[in-house]
Amino acid sequence: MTTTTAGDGAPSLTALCLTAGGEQWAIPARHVGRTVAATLGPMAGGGWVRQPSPAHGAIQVAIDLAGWWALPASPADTVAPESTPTYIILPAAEVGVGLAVREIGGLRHLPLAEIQPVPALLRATLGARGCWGIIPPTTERPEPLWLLDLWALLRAAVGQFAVLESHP
Amino acid sequence: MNSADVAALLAQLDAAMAATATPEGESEAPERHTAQALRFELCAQDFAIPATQVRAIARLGQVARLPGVGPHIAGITTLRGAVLPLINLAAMLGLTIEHPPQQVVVVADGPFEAGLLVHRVDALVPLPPPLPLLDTRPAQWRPLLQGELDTSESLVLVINVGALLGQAARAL
Repeated sequence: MTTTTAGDGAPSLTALCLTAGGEQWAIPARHVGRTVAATLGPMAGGGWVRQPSPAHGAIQVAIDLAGWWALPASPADTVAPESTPTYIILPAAEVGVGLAVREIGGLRHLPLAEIQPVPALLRATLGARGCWGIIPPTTERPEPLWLLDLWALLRAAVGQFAVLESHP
Repeated sequence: MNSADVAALLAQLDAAMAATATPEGESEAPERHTAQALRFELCAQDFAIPATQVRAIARLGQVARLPGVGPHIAGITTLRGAVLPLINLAAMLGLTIEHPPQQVVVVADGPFEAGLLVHRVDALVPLPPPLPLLDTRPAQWRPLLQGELDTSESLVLVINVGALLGQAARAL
């Protein structure tokens, strides 16, 4: 794990923080190549694969983070999915697939001491969708932060989509 | 149940676990049933869990819901600094909840550890080999229960902790 040191000297993980489906997420910065503003086409197979507009020709598909986690779509998605402004997060090595989210919150230094692994009981549900760690809620911050492995998430989502496509 | 009651119950659990442990090289005497179970109530039904699989009893604290999971997972909480998944046992058994459970029985089996949401933790009771489930019990209970204990007060359903946690881990 690549770590940095936060202002207080404690070891930390630099991560890109996001909001999608009403949840807070973070991706290690070293996984991220760049982010682009995009307009996505309608939802395709499985409810999580979106086609970006032609202006982003290098990106073949985008995985909708909220859709992949089966979270309720925002009202904006329901009204006009193809015109919802979106960001696509591209992995450090471009592979033609990125992660689509509504909101990017910027980079944060997450103290390593606060990061906990996904409990064994939840690995089949959370781990299989690309979540590798949790920063539990506190009284000051009531929402948990879900840490994502961008590579694992994209691989799992594309793999699941391929299964669905081959068994319509 | 107040914190002193919980502490006393935990002390009893520790003693029960020590008593039921078989030292290496010794065989258990088949005629002795020293095993104990923790009895609790959920939705007006009595349940029991083998004491050796109970790790802690706690009051329900702050719960964060989980994204993309079914109703059988109530969320996560933090207990002694560690993330603990919470299982909505009532939902898994199809029981109707009139008021939300406020107590947690932490159980473990193999790699899995989770908190079961219950209405009231009762007491340690002897755990003889349970009787088969009554035919009238719902079919969805059968994989999750070891059987029933016929006490003088009621029929107590004995949870199969391994099966319960395994099903919770697999269900989406």
